[in-house]
Amino acid sequence: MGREKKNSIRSRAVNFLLVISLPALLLIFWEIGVRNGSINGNVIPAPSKLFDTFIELIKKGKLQEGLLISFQRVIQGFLIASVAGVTLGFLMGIFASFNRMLSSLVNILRPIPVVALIPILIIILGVGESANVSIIVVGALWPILLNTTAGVMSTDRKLLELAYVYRLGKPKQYFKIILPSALYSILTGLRLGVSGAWMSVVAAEMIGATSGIGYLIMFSKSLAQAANMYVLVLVVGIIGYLIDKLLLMLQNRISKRFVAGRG
Amino acid sequence: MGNETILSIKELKKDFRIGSETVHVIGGISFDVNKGEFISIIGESGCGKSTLLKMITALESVTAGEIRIDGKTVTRPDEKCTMIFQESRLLPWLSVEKNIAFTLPPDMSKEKKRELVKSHIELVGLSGFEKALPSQLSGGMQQRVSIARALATAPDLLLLDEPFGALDAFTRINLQDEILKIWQKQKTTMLLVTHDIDEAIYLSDRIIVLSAKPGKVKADIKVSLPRPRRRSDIEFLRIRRSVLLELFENGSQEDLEYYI
Ligand SMILES: Nc1ncnc2c1ncn2[C@@H]1O[C@H](COP(=O)(O)OP(=O)(O)OP(=O)(O)O)[C@@H](O)[C@H]1O
Ligand SMILES: [Mg+2]
Repeated sequence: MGREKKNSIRSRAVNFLLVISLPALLLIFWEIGVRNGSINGNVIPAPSKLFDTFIELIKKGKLQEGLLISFQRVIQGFLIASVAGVTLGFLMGIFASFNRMLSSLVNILRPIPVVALIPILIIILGVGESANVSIIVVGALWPILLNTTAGVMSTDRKLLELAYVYRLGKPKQYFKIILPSALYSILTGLRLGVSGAWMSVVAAEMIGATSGIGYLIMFSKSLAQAANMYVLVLVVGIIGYLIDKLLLMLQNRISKRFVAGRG
Repeated sequence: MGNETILSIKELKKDFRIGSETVHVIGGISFDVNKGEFISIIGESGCGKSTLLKMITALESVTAGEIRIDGKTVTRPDEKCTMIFQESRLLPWLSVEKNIAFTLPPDMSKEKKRELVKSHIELVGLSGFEKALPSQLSGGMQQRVSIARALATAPDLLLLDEPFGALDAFTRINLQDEILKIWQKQKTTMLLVTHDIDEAIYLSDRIIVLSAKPGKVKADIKVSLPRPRRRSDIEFLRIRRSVLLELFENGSQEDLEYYI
């Protein structure tokens, strides 16, 4: 037991080193490259410069301010997309006729990149919060909707037969059999939906907003502040990564609690 | 035992369409089941036994003929009738006690439910496993839970579709005894589909032998041995032989020798 534990700590350490080694090496060569002049520091600033810029942005409060606004938009858009996606997805999973009615529309709209919809939404809704939030809704909606439908349709038919023979009412079938069956899939959809929302908020703010982290990136570009731009883009990436990790953890927790016996 | 009929099947037919062809699976079955009787249905694989039970629970439509439970023609699942499936069909995210409570009527009081769940867990010998999830139980224990679940709804007519088929011989014999005890205690009418001739003779008052393609009643054999029955009794073996003869009427003598 003690030995196993030691082993697992050791293998974890090895794993961590493997994960961290490539980015670390990249940073080291990057820094050296800028210092000895083989990389143009004006176009690609050195990591040390980026770190200083990052601290400066935080001190001035710019970064937090932008992130806060972006987060608010993401939460609004994501909530709307969740309610719409889970409801529509659930109905599409249960009612074949409803599914047939919507599926062609969904399949045409879904492959359109969110960026392509931004100009249209701005024309319709004007520059402002409703356009920003709508873009996020679209960016988050599809994975939520599709995963909900798939989860509902994967419900074990034998359990539904059981419910029929034992004359359990429709609400009990929907909420006590189908919903728990679909829960894991719905959570996957929500997790992908948050990622989608985060990507869309940046895109939306780069094109049609005067605040938020996406806007800050465009602003830095227009002032040719290369270091700011890099820092902001990296922050977007890291936050996206953290959101996904956090939600994966949350998903596993919830499913352990409610979807026991499902591996 | 009164001679009141609880289940009446008249000229029942079932066709399935497979591709462009119509397959006559059940071709005119008639028999009556009296209240409190233990009946086994036996017949080769594919002769329509599961289909018959599914029609009795309205999971499948009736092509022609009629099924009546307590005089009422079946169009929807009847509240007097419950089925135990071949697989346990438990909800994997619910504990043993919640699975059993799940199918109890919604208008039943909480105390009544708790009481029923508790007594039926005891009945199938699963005390101590109330909080266990299905994945934490063996196959035999899972099937016990599904038996408890069915019995807790207090059906007058219980349909069993090869409920012990997937279990080892030891567990199977144990559960047969339990079913028998429950039947003697509660006088539930039992309609059991099985492949196992010994099981049928051990348990039932009557054995209905079905033929295949299309399914028809080939023999209706009365078993009037006193219980508990012994599988090695001369009379037991005699009945076994007559069931085998019915089953393999058109088969070769070797088939029969193999089974005997
Ligand atoms: N939904 C269906 N559609 C088409 N054919 C079906 C359907 N259900 C059953 N059948 C056919 O009906 C016949 C009888 O099936 P059934 O499941 O009732 O057999 P069974 O007697 O229970 O067999 P077993 O002993 O193997 O369980 C089979 O030939 C099967 O192919
Ligand atoms: Mg069958």
